[in-house]
Amino acid sequence: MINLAPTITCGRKGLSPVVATLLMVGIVFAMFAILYPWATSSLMLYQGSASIWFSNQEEAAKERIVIEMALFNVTTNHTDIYVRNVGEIDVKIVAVYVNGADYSSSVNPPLTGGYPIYTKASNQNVVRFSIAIPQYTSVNIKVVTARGYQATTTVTK
Amino acid sequence: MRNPAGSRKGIATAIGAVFFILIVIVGFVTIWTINTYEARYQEVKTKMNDWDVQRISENIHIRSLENSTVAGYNLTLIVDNIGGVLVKTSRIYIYDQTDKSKLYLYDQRIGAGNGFVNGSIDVGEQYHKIEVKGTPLNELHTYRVILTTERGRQFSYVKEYKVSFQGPTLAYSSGSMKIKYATLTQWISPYIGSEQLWTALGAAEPQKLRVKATFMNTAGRSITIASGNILLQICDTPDNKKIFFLGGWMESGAGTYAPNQVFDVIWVIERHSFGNKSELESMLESYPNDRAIFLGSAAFSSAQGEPFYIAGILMDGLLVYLN
Repeated sequence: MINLAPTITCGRKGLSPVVATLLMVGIVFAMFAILYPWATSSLMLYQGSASIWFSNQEEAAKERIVIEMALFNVTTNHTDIYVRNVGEIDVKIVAVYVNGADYSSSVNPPLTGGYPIYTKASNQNVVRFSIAIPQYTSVNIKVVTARGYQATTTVTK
Repeated sequence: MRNPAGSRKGIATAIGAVFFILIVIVGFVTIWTINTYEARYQEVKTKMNDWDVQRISENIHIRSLENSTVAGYNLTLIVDNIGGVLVKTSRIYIYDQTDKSKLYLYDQRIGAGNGFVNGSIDVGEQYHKIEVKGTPLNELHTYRVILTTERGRQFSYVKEYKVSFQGPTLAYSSGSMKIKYATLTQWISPYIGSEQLWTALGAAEPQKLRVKATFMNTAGRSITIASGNILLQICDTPDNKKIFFLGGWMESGAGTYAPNQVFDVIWVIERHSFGNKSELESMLESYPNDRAIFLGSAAFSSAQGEPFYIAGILMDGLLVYLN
């Protein structure tokens, strides 16, 4: 019996490894083409989120406001509070609470969009807010910034 | 013989490894970048925490607020720095608690305007004087002072209105004390003998006794006497043992008196507080001495809510002789 198989096989010898290698390289490239954009975009997103979060936290940590003086103004019948920015970053006052109730709409100057108080460098770092509060003997006033910093005081007539 | 197929073995692995390493490097860069953000955030937090520590280390004791003796300034705030850090004053609030419509704000003085100077107070410094150009104090008003610092601390002080006892604000006219019973129409001297007393009483039970004294307002300002009382003591001499009291109320009522105005104040001693006709004698019988002295003292006080004023005056004695 004549064995023809080696002869036939021998003629195609080397083709399969080349194709296999090319296939493998192609698969690797294809996978990289899929994985790399996914990985980089995920990492960039993660990095971007972290950047925003740390940046916000950093800015919030730099905020400091105090209510220096609070009194009932007998001339205007309003309660005046003097808020000073003693931090390292400009702040925006967005809300004023009186005994836990939101009095933001009863404040002058208005807090629409947040009322800015600048840092000491600007020389405009203290603002007087006038609040219309109905008859009271003693009230607790809380001032809140856009980044969440709070300052409180108590006014007694 | 070298197998040509063998030389291609691992090409995909090598390329895959390179790509893998590339992705890992990108991951490491991301983590390193995020760590940088966090490090910067921690640095800010540490810095602000240090700032907070310095803030709570501030401690100022305000000794007094006075009218200034320095030319060009009106007020002097005397303070001690009893904290652990240098304190820089940012603003001084002075609220007039008597006239509640006035709040004075003083920032660091720039140019010739109002404001304060010398606002930096060193650690341990005492009797530090912050000079303020502004509205002078009214000595009759009470003020609330708030000193605020650049780190946002507030230190308060209340300056009470001044009550001066450095000289009489009411001058009692010595010898002006007169008495009058309801049955008498004219004022008579309190120095009366027993016969005179009985004559004055008309051999009847004592009626209302009025005591009058003359004063002059020497305060340099108007004084309002809203209410007052008189207490007469009968004392057994010479040991001055107190045996009897008489209380009376101010009949003339509240009055406001201008500076240098001379005015009379009349008190009424009611019958029931004076006692019955023989009550006085019976109380004195147990004492061997035949004389007792009425010592007068007057006290004025204002009504609640008025500027407080009080004065004590020793009056003429009222002598009563017993047989």
